[in-house]
Amino acid sequence: MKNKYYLLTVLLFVGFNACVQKTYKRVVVVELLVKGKKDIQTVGIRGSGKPLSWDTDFPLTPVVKDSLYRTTITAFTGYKFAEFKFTVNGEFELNNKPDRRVEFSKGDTTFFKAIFNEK
Amino acid sequence: MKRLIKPICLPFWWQDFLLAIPRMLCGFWLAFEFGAAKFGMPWSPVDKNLGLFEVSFWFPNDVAEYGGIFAMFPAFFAWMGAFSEAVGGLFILIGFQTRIFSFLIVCTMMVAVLLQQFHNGLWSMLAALGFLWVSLHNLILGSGRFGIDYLISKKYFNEK
Repeated sequence: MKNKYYLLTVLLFVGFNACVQKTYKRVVVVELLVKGKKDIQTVGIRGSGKPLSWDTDFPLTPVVKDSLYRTTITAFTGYKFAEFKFTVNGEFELNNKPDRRVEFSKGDTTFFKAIFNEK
Repeated sequence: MKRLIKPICLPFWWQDFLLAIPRMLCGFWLAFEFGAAKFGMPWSPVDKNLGLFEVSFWFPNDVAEYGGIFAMFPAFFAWMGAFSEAVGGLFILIGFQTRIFSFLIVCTMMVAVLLQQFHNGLWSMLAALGFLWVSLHNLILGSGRFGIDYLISKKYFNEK
């Protein structure tokens, strides 16, 4: 009788694990063009869902200093999209405007190009 | 069962009506806003990619951070919490099995207040506290006159 309860408990918890949304690996290559800014120290992305955060930058590296920046983000998510904003020297773009949104492509990698503070 | 379903009715119908307003609003917000965002319901946002009765992938991870028994069975507690909001909210809205789902929501909101939001201060706790107070009322009083429980009581238990 005791074993039956153990089995039921195990089955119950396995069942609950099966009810958790599946995650998929999503790779996003982000390219950002920054216009009209000099002496840029940091360029980053802040957003929802790991590895992004609204508190700290996910850094972009310069391809052309003070102009073109790029990064690759790898996320494990169940959603079909991600929302974020860019920062330059810690300052957010698109003040009082909606976040940027990228829909993941069905292929392996999603490419996203943007201009800082322009939508 | 009768004790669980039969609502406590107040002396005047308008008193029940007044208390039904926060019950219905909280039920609506839980079912269609807070719950549907992390628990797969037919009206969950399509881009959240949730299957029916599926809990969002990030929620068990959040629950595991509470530690203790929550870290041992995060999927179970995440599913129960999300279920009580999404499905419980719907039942609270229509006043069906009000006490059972109020109890589930009370448990969920106590976890939200004490383990999720407590260290963020009072302002962060307000939403969960609001749902907690309303659910406590519903747990004691049941649906009042404006719910399915009242109609069931009237028909099957010959009660008004």
